[in-house]
Amino acid sequence: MEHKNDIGDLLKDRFEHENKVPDQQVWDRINTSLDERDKNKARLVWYKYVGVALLLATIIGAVVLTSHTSEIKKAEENNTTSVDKITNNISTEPKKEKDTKDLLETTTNSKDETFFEIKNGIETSVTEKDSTYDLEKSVIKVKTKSKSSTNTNKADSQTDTYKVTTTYSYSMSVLDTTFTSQNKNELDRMVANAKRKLFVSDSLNSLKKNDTIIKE
Amino acid sequence: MTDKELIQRCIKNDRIAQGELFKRYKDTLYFVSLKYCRNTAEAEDNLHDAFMAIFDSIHNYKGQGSFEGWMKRITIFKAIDRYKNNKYIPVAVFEETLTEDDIELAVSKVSLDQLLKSIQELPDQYRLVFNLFQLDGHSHKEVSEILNITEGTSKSNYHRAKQILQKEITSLIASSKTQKHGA
Repeated sequence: MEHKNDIGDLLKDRFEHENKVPDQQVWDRINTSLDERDKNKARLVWYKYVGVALLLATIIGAVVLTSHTSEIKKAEENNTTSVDKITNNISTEPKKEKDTKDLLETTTNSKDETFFEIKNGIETSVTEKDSTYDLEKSVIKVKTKSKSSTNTNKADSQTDTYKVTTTYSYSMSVLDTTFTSQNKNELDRMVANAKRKLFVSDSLNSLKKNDTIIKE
Repeated sequence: MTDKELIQRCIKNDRIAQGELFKRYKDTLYFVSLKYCRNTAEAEDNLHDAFMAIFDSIHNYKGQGSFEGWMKRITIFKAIDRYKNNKYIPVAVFEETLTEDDIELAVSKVSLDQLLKSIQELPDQYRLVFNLFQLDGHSHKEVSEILNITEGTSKSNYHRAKQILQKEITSLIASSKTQKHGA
Protein backbone atom coordinates (compact mmCIF):
# COMPACT_ATOMS: atom_id res chain seq x y z
CA MET A 1 0.00 0.00 0.00
CA GLU A 2 1.29 3.48 -0.93
CA HIS A 3 2.31 5.44 2.13
CA LYS A 4 1.44 9.12 1.89
CA ASN A 5 2.86 11.64 4.28
CA ASP A 6 1.90 14.90 2.52
CA ILE A 7 -1.01 16.60 4.22
CA GLY A 8 -2.24 17.92 0.88
CA ASP A 9 -2.40 14.46 -0.68
CA LEU A 10 -4.01 13.05 2.44
CA LEU A 11 -6.70 15.71 2.39
CA LYS A 12 -7.29 15.17 -1.32
CA ASP A 13 -7.84 11.48 -0.74
CA ARG A 14 -10.11 12.19 2.16
CA PHE A 15 -12.25 14.64 0.20
CA GLU A 16 -12.58 12.44 -2.87
CA HIS A 17 -16.16 11.31 -3.51
CA GLU A 18 -17.36 13.28 -0.52
CA ASN A 19 -20.45 15.45 -0.68
CA LYS A 20 -22.39 17.70 1.62
CA VAL A 21 -26.08 18.49 1.52
CA PRO A 22 -26.90 22.18 1.45
CA ASP A 23 -29.80 23.73 3.28
CA GLN A 24 -33.18 23.56 1.48
CA GLN A 25 -33.32 27.37 1.78
CA VAL A 26 -30.69 27.63 -0.94
CA TRP A 27 -33.15 26.37 -3.56
CA ASP A 28 -35.86 28.69 -2.20
CA ARG A 29 -33.50 31.62 -2.63
CA ILE A 30 -32.52 30.48 -6.12
CA ASN A 31 -36.22 30.11 -7.00
CA THR A 32 -36.94 33.66 -5.82
CA SER A 33 -33.93 35.01 -7.70
CA LEU A 34 -35.08 33.22 -10.88
CA ASP A 35 -38.56 34.76 -10.51
CA GLU A 36 -36.99 38.20 -10.09
CA ARG A 37 -34.73 37.64 -13.06
CA ASP A 38 -37.72 36.63 -15.24
CA LYS A 39 -39.64 39.72 -14.12
CA ASN A 40 -36.64 41.93 -14.91
CA LYS A 41 -36.30 40.28 -18.30
CA ALA A 42 -39.99 40.89 -19.06
CA ARG A 43 -39.63 44.49 -17.89
CA LEU A 44 -36.55 44.90 -20.06
CA VAL A 45 -38.42 43.56 -23.10
CA TRP A 46 -41.30 45.95 -22.35
CA TYR A 47 -38.85 48.87 -22.01
CA LYS A 48 -37.31 47.86 -25.32
CA TYR A 49 -40.72 47.89 -27.05
CA VAL A 50 -41.58 51.24 -25.50
CA GLY A 51 -38.19 52.58 -26.51
CA VAL A 52 -38.60 51.39 -30.09
CA ALA A 53 -42.15 52.81 -30.22
CA LEU A 54 -40.94 56.18 -28.92
CA LEU A 55 -38.08 56.18 -31.39
CA LEU A 56 -40.44 55.40 -34.27
CA ALA A 57 -42.89 58.07 -33.11
CA THR A 58 -40.05 60.59 -32.91
CA ILE A 59 -38.79 59.69 -36.37
CA ILE A 60 -42.29 59.82 -37.90
CA GLY A 61 -42.98 63.11 -36.09
CA ALA A 62 -39.71 64.57 -37.30
CA VAL A 63 -40.39 63.46 -40.90
CA VAL A 64 -43.93 64.86 -40.85
CA LEU A 65 -42.75 68.11 -39.26
CA THR A 66 -39.90 68.45 -41.75
CA SER A 67 -42.15 67.85 -44.75
CA HIS A 68 -44.77 70.20 -43.36
CA THR A 69 -42.16 72.89 -42.73
CA SER A 70 -40.70 72.46 -46.19
CA GLU A 71 -44.18 72.74 -47.69
CA ILE A 72 -44.82 75.94 -45.76
CA LYS A 73 -41.42 77.28 -46.81
CA LYS A 74 -42.12 76.36 -50.41
CA ALA A 75 -45.48 78.08 -50.28
CA GLU A 76 -43.90 81.13 -48.64
CA GLU A 77 -41.18 81.19 -51.27
CA ASN A 78 -43.80 80.97 -54.04
CA ASN A 79 -45.79 83.78 -52.48
CA THR A 80 -42.70 85.92 -52.06
CA THR A 81 -41.70 85.27 -55.65
CA SER A 82 -45.16 86.15 -56.84
CA VAL A 83 -45.25 89.36 -54.77
CA ASP A 84 -41.71 90.24 -55.86
CA LYS A 85 -42.65 89.66 -59.49
CA ILE A 86 -45.71 91.82 -59.18
CA THR A 87 -43.87 94.59 -57.31
CA ASN A 88 -40.99 94.58 -59.75
CA ASN A 89 -43.22 94.53 -62.77
CA ILE A 90 -45.49 97.26 -61.49
CA SER A 91 -42.84 99.61 -60.15
CA THR A 92 -40.56 99.33 -63.14
CA GLU A 93 -41.34 99.33 -66.79
CA PRO A 94 -41.67 95.78 -68.05
CA LYS A 95 -38.99 94.87 -70.56
CA LYS A 96 -40.93 92.33 -72.52
CA GLU A 97 -44.57 91.86 -73.28
CA LYS A 98 -44.17 88.15 -72.46
CA ASP A 99 -43.09 88.98 -68.91
CA THR A 100 -46.14 91.15 -68.50
CA LYS A 101 -48.34 88.33 -69.67
CA ASP A 102 -46.76 86.05 -67.11
CA LEU A 103 -47.50 88.62 -64.49
CA LEU A 104 -51.03 88.91 -65.71
CA GLU A 105 -51.55 85.19 -65.54
CA THR A 106 -50.43 85.18 -61.92
CA THR A 107 -52.54 88.19 -61.13
CA THR A 108 -55.55 86.72 -62.86
CA ASN A 109 -55.27 83.50 -60.89
CA SER A 110 -54.79 85.22 -57.59
CA LYS A 111 -57.52 87.85 -58.14
CA ASP A 112 -60.17 85.28 -59.07
CA GLU A 113 -62.10 86.00 -62.26
CA THR A 114 -60.64 89.46 -62.64
CA PHE A 115 -58.89 89.30 -65.95
CA PHE A 116 -57.28 92.21 -67.62
CA GLU A 117 -54.24 92.96 -69.63
CA ILE A 118 -51.50 95.46 -69.20
CA LYS A 119 -49.56 96.30 -72.25
CA ASN A 120 -46.22 98.06 -71.86
CA GLY A 121 -46.99 98.33 -68.16
CA ILE A 122 -49.71 100.95 -68.66
CA GLU A 123 -53.48 100.63 -68.50
CA THR A 124 -55.33 99.24 -71.46
CA SER A 125 -58.45 97.22 -72.03
CA VAL A 126 -59.46 93.91 -73.41
CA THR A 127 -62.64 93.02 -75.19
CA GLU A 128 -64.27 89.73 -74.63
CA LYS A 129 -67.35 88.16 -76.07
CA ASP A 130 -70.12 87.41 -73.61
CA SER A 131 -73.05 85.24 -74.69
CA THR A 132 -74.95 88.37 -75.60
CA TYR A 133 -72.72 91.34 -75.11
CA ASP A 134 -69.23 92.45 -75.73
CA LEU A 135 -67.43 93.15 -72.51
CA GLU A 136 -64.80 95.78 -72.38
CA LYS A 137 -62.79 95.83 -69.23
CA SER A 138 -60.69 98.87 -68.67
CA VAL A 139 -57.80 98.92 -66.30
CA ILE A 140 -56.83 102.20 -64.76
CA LYS A 141 -53.53 102.51 -63.02
CA VAL A 142 -53.65 104.43 -59.73
CA LYS A 143 -50.46 105.34 -57.90
CA THR A 144 -50.69 105.50 -54.09
CA LYS A 145 -48.09 106.26 -51.40
CA SER A 146 -48.20 104.02 -48.37
CA LYS A 147 -46.11 103.05 -45.33
CA SER A 148 -45.12 99.44 -45.45
CA SER A 149 -45.17 97.42 -42.22
CA THR A 150 -43.19 94.50 -43.53
CA ASN A 151 -39.71 93.79 -42.16
CA THR A 152 -38.20 93.61 -45.58
CA ASN A 153 -39.28 97.04 -46.68
CA LYS A 154 -39.76 99.50 -43.87
CA ALA A 155 -39.39 102.65 -45.96
CA ASP A 156 -42.27 104.48 -47.57
CA SER A 157 -43.15 102.83 -50.79
CA GLN A 158 -45.14 103.78 -53.80
CA THR A 159 -47.51 101.10 -54.93
CA ASP A 160 -49.52 100.86 -58.06
CA THR A 161 -53.07 99.62 -57.82
CA TYR A 162 -55.33 98.90 -60.72
CA LYS A 163 -59.00 99.87 -60.94
CA VAL A 164 -60.96 97.62 -63.25
CA THR A 165 -64.01 99.09 -65.00
CA THR A 166 -66.27 96.83 -67.05
CA THR A 167 -68.23 98.31 -69.91
CA TYR A 168 -70.91 96.24 -71.58
CA SER A 169 -71.73 96.96 -75.20
CA TYR A 170 -74.25 95.52 -77.68
CA SER A 171 -74.09 96.32 -81.35
CA MET A 172 -77.19 96.02 -83.54
CA SER A 173 -76.09 95.84 -87.12
CA VAL A 174 -79.72 96.29 -88.37
CA LEU A 175 -79.90 99.67 -86.70
CA ASP A 176 -76.20 100.29 -87.18
CA THR A 177 -76.10 101.25 -83.51
CA THR A 178 -73.99 100.16 -80.52
CA PHE A 179 -75.51 100.39 -77.06
CA THR A 180 -73.01 100.87 -74.22
CA SER A 181 -73.43 100.91 -70.45
CA GLN A 182 -71.52 100.06 -67.30
CA ASN A 183 -74.75 98.67 -65.86
CA LYS A 184 -75.79 95.44 -67.43
CA ASN A 185 -79.50 95.79 -66.47
CA GLU A 186 -79.65 99.18 -68.01
CA LEU A 187 -78.11 97.82 -71.18
CA ASP A 188 -80.70 95.04 -71.16
CA ARG A 189 -83.50 97.56 -71.04
CA MET A 190 -81.96 99.65 -73.81
CA VAL A 191 -81.53 96.61 -76.04
CA ALA A 192 -85.07 95.39 -75.31
CA ASN A 193 -86.56 98.77 -76.18
CA ALA A 194 -84.56 98.94 -79.41
CA LYS A 195 -85.65 95.44 -80.37
CA ARG A 196 -89.29 96.23 -79.60
CA LYS A 197 -89.11 99.36 -81.72
CA LEU A 198 -87.46 97.39 -84.51
CA PHE A 199 -90.16 94.72 -84.30
CA VAL A 200 -92.94 97.33 -84.45
CA SER A 201 -91.40 99.11 -87.42
CA ASP A 202 -90.84 95.80 -89.21
CA SER A 203 -94.50 94.86 -88.62
CA LEU A 204 -95.73 98.22 -89.92
CA ASN A 205 -93.55 97.90 -92.99
CA SER A 206 -94.93 94.46 -93.80
CA LEU A 207 -98.51 95.69 -93.30
CA LYS A 208 -97.85 98.59 -95.67
CA LYS A 209 -96.44 96.15 -98.23
CA ASN A 210 -99.52 93.93 -97.93
CA ASP A 211 -101.85 96.95 -98.34
CA THR A 212 -100.07 97.98 -101.53
CA ILE A 213 -100.43 94.50 -103.00
CA ILE A 214 -104.14 94.43 -102.16
CA LYS A 215 -104.66 97.86 -103.68
CA GLU A 216 -102.89 96.81 -106.86
CA MET B 1 -34.24 12.35 -17.77
CA THR B 2 -30.71 12.58 -19.19
CA ASP B 3 -28.42 15.55 -18.58
CA LYS B 4 -28.82 16.51 -22.25
CA GLU B 5 -32.62 16.68 -21.98
CA LEU B 6 -32.31 18.54 -18.71
CA ILE B 7 -29.98 21.09 -20.29
CA GLN B 8 -32.36 21.62 -23.22
CA ARG B 9 -35.26 22.24 -20.87
CA CYS B 10 -33.17 24.56 -18.68
CA ILE B 11 -32.27 26.59 -21.79
CA LYS B 12 -36.04 27.06 -22.29
CA ASN B 13 -36.18 28.39 -18.73
CA ASP B 14 -38.25 25.42 -17.52
CA ARG B 15 -38.41 25.86 -13.73
CA ILE B 16 -39.06 22.15 -13.05
CA ALA B 17 -35.95 21.22 -15.02
CA GLN B 18 -33.94 23.87 -13.20
CA GLY B 19 -35.13 22.38 -9.90
CA GLU B 20 -34.15 18.91 -11.08
CA LEU B 21 -30.70 20.12 -12.12
CA PHE B 22 -30.21 21.71 -8.71
CA LYS B 23 -31.32 18.52 -7.00
CA ARG B 24 -28.92 16.46 -9.09
CA TYR B 25 -25.76 18.53 -8.56
CA LYS B 26 -26.32 20.58 -5.40
CA ASP B 27 -24.30 18.25 -3.11
CA THR B 28 -21.24 18.11 -5.34
CA LEU B 29 -21.20 21.86 -5.97
CA TYR B 30 -21.91 22.65 -2.35
CA PHE B 31 -18.88 20.61 -1.31
CA VAL B 32 -16.76 22.53 -3.82
CA SER B 33 -18.11 25.77 -2.33
CA LEU B 34 -17.35 24.59 1.19
CA LYS B 35 -13.71 23.95 0.28
CA TYR B 36 -13.30 27.39 -1.33
CA CYS B 37 -15.31 29.53 1.07
CA ARG B 38 -14.70 30.72 4.62
CA ASN B 39 -17.77 29.08 6.16
CA THR B 40 -21.07 27.34 5.46
CA ALA B 41 -23.01 30.60 5.09
CA GLU B 42 -20.63 31.90 2.45
CA ALA B 43 -20.58 28.47 0.80
CA GLU B 44 -24.37 28.60 0.50
CA ASP B 45 -24.20 32.11 -0.93
CA ASN B 46 -21.62 30.91 -3.39
CA LEU B 47 -23.80 27.92 -4.36
CA HIS B 48 -26.71 30.31 -5.00
CA ASP B 49 -24.54 32.58 -7.15
CA ALA B 50 -23.06 29.60 -8.99
CA PHE B 51 -26.48 28.15 -9.88
CA MET B 52 -27.75 31.53 -11.03
CA ALA B 53 -24.69 31.83 -13.28
CA ILE B 54 -25.22 28.26 -14.53
CA PHE B 55 -28.87 28.94 -15.45
CA ASP B 56 -27.91 32.23 -17.10
CA SER B 57 -25.17 30.73 -19.22
CA ILE B 58 -26.36 27.15 -19.74
CA HIS B 59 -26.97 27.90 -23.44
CA ASN B 60 -23.19 28.43 -23.71
CA TYR B 61 -22.47 24.82 -22.76
CA LYS B 62 -21.72 23.17 -26.10
CA GLY B 63 -21.52 19.60 -24.82
CA GLN B 64 -17.74 19.53 -24.99
CA GLY B 65 -16.29 18.00 -21.81
CA SER B 66 -18.12 16.94 -18.70
CA PHE B 67 -21.18 18.96 -17.73
CA GLU B 68 -20.35 18.47 -14.08
CA GLY B 69 -16.83 19.76 -14.68
CA TRP B 70 -18.26 22.83 -16.45
CA MET B 71 -20.52 23.55 -13.47
CA LYS B 72 -17.67 22.96 -11.02
CA ARG B 73 -15.52 25.49 -12.84
CA ILE B 74 -18.31 28.08 -12.61
CA THR B 75 -18.66 27.40 -8.88
CA ILE B 76 -14.91 27.67 -8.30
CA PHE B 77 -14.63 30.92 -10.26
CA LYS B 78 -17.57 32.39 -8.36
CA ALA B 79 -15.70 31.70 -5.11
CA ILE B 80 -12.47 33.07 -6.54
CA ASP B 81 -14.27 36.29 -7.55
CA ARG B 82 -15.56 36.54 -4.02
CA TYR B 83 -12.12 36.41 -2.38
CA LYS B 84 -9.65 37.30 -5.09
CA ASN B 85 -9.27 40.93 -4.11
CA ASN B 86 -9.29 40.34 -0.38
CA LYS B 87 -6.02 41.29 1.24
CA TYR B 88 -3.83 38.52 2.41
CA ILE B 89 -3.76 38.18 6.21
CA PRO B 90 -0.34 37.13 7.50
CA VAL B 91 -0.40 34.39 10.08
CA ALA B 92 2.25 33.05 12.39
CA VAL B 93 3.50 29.69 11.16
CA PHE B 94 3.65 26.85 13.57
CA GLU B 95 7.12 25.36 13.32
CA GLU B 96 6.50 22.02 14.97
CA THR B 97 6.11 19.17 12.49
CA LEU B 98 4.44 15.84 12.90
CA THR B 99 5.87 12.51 11.87
CA GLU B 100 4.50 10.89 8.67
CA ASP B 101 2.48 8.34 10.64
CA ASP B 102 1.08 11.01 12.94
CA ILE B 103 -0.19 13.06 9.98
CA GLU B 104 -1.81 10.08 8.26
CA LEU B 105 -3.43 9.02 11.47
CA ALA B 106 -4.63 12.53 12.26
CA VAL B 107 -6.25 13.06 8.84
CA SER B 108 -8.04 9.75 9.05
CA LYS B 109 -9.29 10.39 12.57
CA VAL B 110 -10.46 13.97 12.25
CA SER B 111 -14.02 14.35 10.99
CA LEU B 112 -14.80 15.71 7.52
CA ASP B 113 -16.45 18.78 8.99
CA GLN B 114 -13.38 19.53 11.10
CA LEU B 115 -11.08 19.12 8.11
CA LEU B 116 -13.30 21.41 6.06
CA LYS B 117 -13.32 23.95 8.87
CA SER B 118 -9.51 23.90 8.97
CA ILE B 119 -9.41 24.67 5.25
CA GLN B 120 -12.12 27.35 5.54
CA GLU B 121 -10.12 29.10 8.28
CA LEU B 122 -7.09 29.54 6.03
CA PRO B 123 -6.49 33.11 4.84
CA ASP B 124 -8.41 33.68 1.58
CA GLN B 125 -5.48 33.56 -0.81
CA TYR B 126 -3.88 30.54 0.90
CA ARG B 127 -7.20 28.71 0.73
CA LEU B 128 -7.69 29.50 -2.94
CA VAL B 129 -4.17 28.44 -3.87
CA PHE B 130 -4.38 25.24 -1.79
CA ASN B 131 -7.73 24.29 -3.34
CA LEU B 132 -6.74 25.11 -6.90
CA PHE B 133 -3.34 23.44 -6.77
CA GLN B 134 -3.86 20.57 -4.35
CA LEU B 135 -7.51 19.60 -4.57
CA ASP B 136 -8.41 20.57 -8.15
CA GLY B 137 -5.12 19.75 -9.85
CA HIS B 138 -4.16 23.09 -11.42
CA SER B 139 -0.47 23.86 -11.93
CA HIS B 140 1.16 26.79 -10.14
CA LYS B 141 1.30 28.57 -13.52
CA GLU B 142 -2.45 28.21 -13.97
CA VAL B 143 -3.08 29.23 -10.36
CA SER B 144 -0.94 32.35 -10.82
CA GLU B 145 -2.93 33.30 -13.95
CA ILE B 146 -6.30 32.67 -12.31
CA LEU B 147 -5.49 34.66 -9.17
CA ASN B 148 -3.32 37.22 -10.93
CA ILE B 149 -0.28 36.48 -8.77
CA THR B 150 3.22 35.24 -9.58
CA GLU B 151 4.06 31.56 -9.68
CA GLY B 152 6.46 32.10 -6.73
CA THR B 153 3.65 33.58 -4.64
CA SER B 154 1.44 30.63 -5.54
CA LYS B 155 4.10 28.15 -4.39
CA SER B 156 4.79 30.09 -1.21
CA ASN B 157 1.08 30.41 -0.40
CA TYR B 158 0.60 26.69 -0.96
CA HIS B 159 3.40 25.72 1.46
CA ARG B 160 2.18 28.14 4.09
CA ALA B 161 -1.36 26.79 3.73
CA LYS B 162 -0.07 23.25 4.31
CA GLN B 163 1.87 24.32 7.42
CA ILE B 164 -1.23 25.98 8.87
CA LEU B 165 -3.37 22.94 8.11
CA GLN B 166 -0.81 20.65 9.75
CA LYS B 167 -0.84 22.81 12.87
CA GLU B 168 -4.61 22.88 12.94
CA ILE B 169 -4.96 19.13 12.58
CA THR B 170 -2.30 18.53 15.27
CA SER B 171 -4.16 20.79 17.67
CA LEU B 172 -7.40 18.99 16.84
CA ILE B 173 -5.79 15.61 17.66
CA ALA B 174 -4.24 17.05 20.81
CA SER B 175 -7.53 18.48 22.01
CA SER B 176 -9.38 15.20 21.31
CA LYS B 177 -6.66 13.29 23.29
CA THR B 178 -7.01 15.73 26.17
CA GLN B 179 -10.79 15.27 26.15
CA LYS B 180 -10.35 11.46 26.25
CA HIS B 181 -7.82 11.61 29.11
CA GLY B 182 -10.00 14.05 30.97
CA ALA B 183 -12.95 11.74 30.61
